[in-house]
Amino acid sequence: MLYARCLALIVFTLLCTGCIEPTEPVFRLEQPFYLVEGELTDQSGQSQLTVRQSNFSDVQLTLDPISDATVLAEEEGAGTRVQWQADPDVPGTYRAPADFAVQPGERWFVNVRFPDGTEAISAAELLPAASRIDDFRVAFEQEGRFVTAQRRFVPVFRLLLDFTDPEGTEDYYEWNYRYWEQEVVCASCDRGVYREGECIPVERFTTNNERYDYLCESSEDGCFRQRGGNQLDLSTDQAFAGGAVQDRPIGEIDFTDFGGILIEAIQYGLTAEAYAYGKVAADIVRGSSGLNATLPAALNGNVRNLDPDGPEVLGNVRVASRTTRRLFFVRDATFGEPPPRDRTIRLEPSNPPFTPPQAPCSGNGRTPIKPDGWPD
Amino acid sequence: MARLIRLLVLLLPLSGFAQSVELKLRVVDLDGDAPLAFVSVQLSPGRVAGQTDERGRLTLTAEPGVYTLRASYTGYAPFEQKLQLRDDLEATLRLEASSEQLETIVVTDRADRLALSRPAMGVEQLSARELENVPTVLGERDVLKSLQLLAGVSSAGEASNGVSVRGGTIDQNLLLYDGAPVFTPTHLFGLFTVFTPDAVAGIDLYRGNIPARFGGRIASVLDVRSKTPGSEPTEIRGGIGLISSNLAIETPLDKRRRLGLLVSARGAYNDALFPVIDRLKNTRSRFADATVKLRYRAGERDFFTLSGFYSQDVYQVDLISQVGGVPAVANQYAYLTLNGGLEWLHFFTDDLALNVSAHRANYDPELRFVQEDGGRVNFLSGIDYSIGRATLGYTTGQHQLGGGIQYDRYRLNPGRLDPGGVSGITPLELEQEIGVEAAAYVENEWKISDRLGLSAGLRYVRYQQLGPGELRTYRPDEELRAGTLLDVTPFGQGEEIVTYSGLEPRLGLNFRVTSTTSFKASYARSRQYLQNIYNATTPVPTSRWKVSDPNVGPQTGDLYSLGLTHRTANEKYIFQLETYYRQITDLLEYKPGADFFLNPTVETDLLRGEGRGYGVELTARRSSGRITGELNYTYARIENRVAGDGPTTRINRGAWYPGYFDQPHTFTSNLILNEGRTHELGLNLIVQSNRPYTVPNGFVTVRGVPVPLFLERNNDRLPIYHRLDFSWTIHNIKKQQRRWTGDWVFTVYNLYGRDNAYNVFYQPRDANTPALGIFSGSPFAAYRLSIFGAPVVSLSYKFTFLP
Repeated sequence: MLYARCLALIVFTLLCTGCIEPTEPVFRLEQPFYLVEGELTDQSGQSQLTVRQSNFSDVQLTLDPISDATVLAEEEGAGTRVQWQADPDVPGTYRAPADFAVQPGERWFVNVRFPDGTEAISAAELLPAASRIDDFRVAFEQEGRFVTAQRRFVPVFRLLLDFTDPEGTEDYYEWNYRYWEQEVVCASCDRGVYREGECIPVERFTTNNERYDYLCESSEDGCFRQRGGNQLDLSTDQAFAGGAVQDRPIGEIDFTDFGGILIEAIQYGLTAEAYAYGKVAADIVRGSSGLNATLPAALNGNVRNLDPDGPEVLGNVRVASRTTRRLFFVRDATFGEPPPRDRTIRLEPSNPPFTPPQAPCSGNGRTPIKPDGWPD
Repeated sequence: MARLIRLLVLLLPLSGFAQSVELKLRVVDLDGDAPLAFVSVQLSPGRVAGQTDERGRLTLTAEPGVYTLRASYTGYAPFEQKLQLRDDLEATLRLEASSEQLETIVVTDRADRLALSRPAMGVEQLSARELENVPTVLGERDVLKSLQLLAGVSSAGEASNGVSVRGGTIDQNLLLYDGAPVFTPTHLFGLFTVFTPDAVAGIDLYRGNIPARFGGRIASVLDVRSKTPGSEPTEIRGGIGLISSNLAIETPLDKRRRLGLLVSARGAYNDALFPVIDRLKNTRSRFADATVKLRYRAGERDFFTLSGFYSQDVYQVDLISQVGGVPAVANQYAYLTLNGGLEWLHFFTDDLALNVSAHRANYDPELRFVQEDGGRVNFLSGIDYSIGRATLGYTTGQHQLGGGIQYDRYRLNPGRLDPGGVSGITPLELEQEIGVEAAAYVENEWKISDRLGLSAGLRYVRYQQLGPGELRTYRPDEELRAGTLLDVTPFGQGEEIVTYSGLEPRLGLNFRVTSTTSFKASYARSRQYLQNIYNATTPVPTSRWKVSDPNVGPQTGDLYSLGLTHRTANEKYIFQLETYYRQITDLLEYKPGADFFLNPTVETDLLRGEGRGYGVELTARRSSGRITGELNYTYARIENRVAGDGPTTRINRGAWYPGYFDQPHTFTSNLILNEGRTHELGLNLIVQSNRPYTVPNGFVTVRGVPVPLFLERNNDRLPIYHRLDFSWTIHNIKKQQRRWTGDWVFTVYNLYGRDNAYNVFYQPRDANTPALGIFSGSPFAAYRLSIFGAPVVSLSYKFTFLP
């Protein structure tokens, strides 16, 4: 006797898989701590340190800069000491002398003395060897990345690097990038006007527009704004030890506007300890959003309070080699289209003898100095 | 109405004036005399019940008296007859095949059978029939989701690659399908179970007193069996759906039904539709599974079974974090399970049987790094697992004795990187790991008296790690890391690297306080030599497995349980109370930043600690009447502790902290309303504490990137989880015996669209982060991830065609 049973007509509705909704970021706060973070490199003018203190106020956790600390860099075993100066433009940032550069074979650490007498030091690290960058280029993709917050794909320029890994050594890398674009507007005020360096709210607004834009004060080269990759991209050389690597992605820059762009690829050579620290941070930041999110981990850096019973001091100061390569190109319609947005510049109306002021080309990464590699 | 069935009764006074009498039954097909296995038989009153074995035989023990004997079996008319038992009796039931699936008599042979009379504790059995009554996801009958309605069983969330039993991790469960282990039991990262639905005959879940014949995991044993073909008439089942399609054929291959074949397969090619949805453009998803079984009855006493299982998945999902180290524009996951087994069952006598079997399990996961130009770098790993087993069983009047030997050999490939022609990538291969477990066990279930039963088992396991391999020796009493490595000793093929061994006692006690109430106690010790290591909330199928070695020893679990079971006088309700305490030594945990991908020295990223779990499980069950169902409440805790010397070797400063599956309160209910003729409604409700997660203690910046600062682990809990599922079955509306009868089944998973949180994570805010007020001035945006945030509806039509 034959039985036949058939299952048919399955209808589905509203399958919502992987919904991500914003929620309030909360913290379970511990005791206040000092945070020391930075690097010493083999490139002049690129070594810097930030010194901050945690502050919990008004239901917010912030890291407040400390500008009156004493920062000394010392070469282990040689007795060489170099005092770093606070950067007046960037509170909490300390820079080595312009000609300071770590040399191959040297081991350095830093000593930080805080205003309250707390003294912290970092573990000494040996400068790793630098790896050569063979080539740097970009690849455009109109639907490059899905942005959850915008619920759409956005066009991106993928940054691709070719380099050669040294043979016979265990190497640790970090990649980053920064880029410059020309700025035309250096200040914008919503329902206000720009006076004396700040936006003043005005109640009466004669137009329907809610914003006034103010052009940059600039040199004849114009005004440039630098932005960084602000990423944590690290790797060991396990998968490509001693070989030439091609098309290694080191980042993405969203295609937001037309015009020239200068991009600098930065390749760091790290110690094993610095790599381990950065890897934990990268996993926390990059790997937390998936179904298989990385377990939260404590960041055990190499900075410690000389007094174990004193205030908590966290952070990591590394010694790293630094190799860079720059690339300039003009973003135009041959690549594709940036996402639509309001690109209209709304200037405050002139009313002779009044002319709207210009905003200085400074702050927020702006500089009137044309970066090296930007064509004339 | 039940048809008249011939009952052949042999009046053989097999014993004297015993307090209990034995009813020895043999159930066969009326047409052909073929024995019918897994027939449910019940004596009422008293609820003495059981299932026939492979040879259609069953022995029931009851007090002398007048009973109603009932038997039911899919595809056959149910049997019911009054019977007077005075002395031991032998009888043969001949059942007649019927096209009608009558629902008026439901024989429950499940936990009721075990609940009162046997010392077994923490055992749940689900038949294929019971699985069909559980509302499913996307129209699929799901083994693992049905288990989550039981006390003490939960999942890590809706996208979880397994279940947690009494707070244990997913890999602490031994999952067997027809005797062979299955390492990844789900498709599509936890949405579906791999077991071909139409092939599953039943599930046994041992979470308390695990019998001595099982070993190798410390939380539970999930024994899934496929159907036994041949004894039933030919049956073809199939289905076509938007997500998957399936076909099953079960047929005898000869007239005498000595040789039977079962083939069941399912396939899904969902990604054909995904490009239509913008969000799913980069998502790939395909899976397939199949079960094949050939069973041969060589005579009255010999049965041979050849079984095979196949499962394969390929997917690419944005929601799975990319693996670092090898650059790629996307990560794809593919994994293959290929299992097989051969079994011989021989009955020397009615009471003495030998079972010899050999099984092989191959698990091959693959991680594919898709390159910009379409090329692919592949990371391959795998497990080859072989089992040889011989078991002897002997039943006397008061003893059910068993004993056997088992030999497991597993070879792990921890990882091989294949550049696939992509330039700049170096081929890499980690050394294989080989482990063998040789075990011997004895067990006895002893019915001391009508009131008192005792089960005692002892399992001895000798584990060895064999070469080729390395023994890495570190400085004693110091953290395992590169800086404390003293020596590396190589071992050749087959050389013994390390040995672990030990006894694993399994004890159980059952005392019948009254005829309706029994008290139970049990103890079980288990060891686990093969473990899954993953530094994540839940493992992906490519997560690494690790054999025990000189630096990573086995985990040991000791479980103590007490229980009380009560059945009401009218036999409608059964109540159970179980409480347990489990201690785990050498618990596995992970150092901050642990990464096992291509890591040749994983012991430097592992920590050893201890765990403790305890809980109370309450169950109330109604198994007859218009409304049947079950209510469960569980209070359960699981805590870990890792108390090392330094910040990298201790967690939460060495204090106890909630384990990853610590869910203190769980309430589940499963209710079925059957109006007896046409309509059956089902409701499943789950309300439970959600998993712990970690709230940061602050933040730091690294390279200008704000990074959450975690000084603790599992210091908070996700919002409460609750979900209601609904099903409505309209049976054969005309209730006539026709060539064509049909059922409509309508199900809704997550009826009121509860948006249950799966995880909460923090990400640095950037230019693409919307300026939402909820983020206020924080440098972070926090997001809550959920899997099913809306009701999932399915409608299906089942029909029976009788040519």
